Amino acid sequence: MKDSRDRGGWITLALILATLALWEAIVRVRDIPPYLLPAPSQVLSTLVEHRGAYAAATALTLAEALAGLFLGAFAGSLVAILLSLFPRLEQGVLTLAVFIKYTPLVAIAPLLTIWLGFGVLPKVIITALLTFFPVLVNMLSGLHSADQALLDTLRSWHASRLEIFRHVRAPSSMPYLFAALKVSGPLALIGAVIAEWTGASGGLGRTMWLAYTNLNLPFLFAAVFVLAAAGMILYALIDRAERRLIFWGPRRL
Amino acid sequence: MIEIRVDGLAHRYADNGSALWALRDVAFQVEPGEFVAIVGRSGCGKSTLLRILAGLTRPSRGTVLLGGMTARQARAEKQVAWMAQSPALLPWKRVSDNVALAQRVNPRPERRAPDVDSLLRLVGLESFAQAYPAALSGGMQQRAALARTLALGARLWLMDEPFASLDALTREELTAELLDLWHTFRPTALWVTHDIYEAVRLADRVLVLGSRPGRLQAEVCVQLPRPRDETDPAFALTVQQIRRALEAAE
Ligand SMILES: Nc1ncnc2c1ncn2[C@@H]1O[C@H](COP(=O)(O)OP(=O)(O)OP(=O)(O)O)[C@@H](O)[C@H]1O
Ligand SMILES: [Mg+2]
Repeated sequence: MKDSRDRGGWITLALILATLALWEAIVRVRDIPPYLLPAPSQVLSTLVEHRGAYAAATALTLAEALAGLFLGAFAGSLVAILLSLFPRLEQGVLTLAVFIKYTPLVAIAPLLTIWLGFGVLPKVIITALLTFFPVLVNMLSGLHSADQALLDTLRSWHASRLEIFRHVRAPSSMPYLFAALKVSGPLALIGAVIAEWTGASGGLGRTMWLAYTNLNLPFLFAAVFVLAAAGMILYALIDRAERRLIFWGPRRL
Repeated sequence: MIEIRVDGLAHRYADNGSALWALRDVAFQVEPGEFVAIVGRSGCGKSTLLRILAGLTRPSRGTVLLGGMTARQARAEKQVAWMAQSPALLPWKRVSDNVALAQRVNPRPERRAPDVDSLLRLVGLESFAQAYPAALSGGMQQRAALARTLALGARLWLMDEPFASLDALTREELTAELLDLWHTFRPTALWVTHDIYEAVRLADRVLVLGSRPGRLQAEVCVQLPRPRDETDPAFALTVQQIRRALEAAE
């Protein structure tokens, strides 16, 4: 198990290196100018040169994404739990949630920036909104997914709704929560970047916007690289938390 | 101890629109402290009957009285120990916590019930107390579920094929242990099984259910002193009698 995971990691690394090598070769052979497509080596040297600025921008964007992720996951789980306890509310609340979900992000982000300024808050709200919906929907199916035989056993003891929730429904829904977080993690990062793009005092989105308006492609590509790496780190964090929290039996999702 | 009175019981599952009755015109009584086994072919409605008695399924027709209470009231009083046909252990709790949970949920502190450790010893799982259910074999999970059911210290046992995935030797050992426990606490017991020998080894009386719709086909009293000797010709005779009733029940 562990071996095959390690091997998977090596294969991924090899693929990434091969792609970069090919990219470098094409840029050099065809002599493509850096304002169209910079070579990976040039992107890398830009990155190293401005490492302090990139580190600060990444830290800010990751923090915004994580804060929004927590907030959205918390709110989504809470609403899902309430709906599972009071199922009559489900239809109405879900309709509202779908409405939020289909309101385009690029429309809300500038509004929030106008209302709330260039600070961290609008970014956190955007990522929280992005996380909220998948967590709500997944947690709801998770809470409903509990094994009927387990529910019956607790019912035969005349367990209260709260006891059934605590001992059966909540643990049953954990794999579903993490499935939602794995989808939302990268989304949250993108959400934070888009929100920054509409106006921010820092962060990777702000870096990209500056590079874009100056047509500084090496700078832009460096930000994209860092963003991809940050996404992988976020995913790994969520994956590790999942392994620790869902320790029983085979992984189902 | 609690008596069972079932009258005019009929059940049809609503979701399969066909007029197929799972149970029809079932009526019987069980005396307080009596051990009754239920045998019948697969799909004849044994689990349905037990679920109704446990207050988990509301019957389409008929009445159930458990010591004068409805099934739901008896459940609310935690008088009923129902064991599902599947082990139904909580995968996120250790074996001992699974067993202890039966006492911790809707607790009855005044009740005299066997303690968790001695129950795990009884079913031979004392060295797996700290294991998670995923690390147990099917038969071990079933034994853990049996320990959990017994931990309730209930006055009525409703057991749905508790020995189904155990080997013959383990079954016989557990039979002896279980009868000891039954003698100590003297609950009324309804025991569903596919194994006629097991039924005769355990029960005072065996109910034979016919299928489609499930109804009471025959009733065989087992008038043999305990512990029962399988080489006794009277034992074989009783087994024969039940077997014939089952064959006629087609
Ligand atoms: N939840 C359900 N919905 C619809 N029909 C059901 C349901 N549960 C059982 N039945 C039907 O009721 C009948 C009796 O089922 P039941 O589970 O009581 O049988 P059983 O005697 O316990 O069988 P087995 O020995 O195989 O466990 C079967 O024909 C089955 O198809
Ligand atoms: Mg059954």
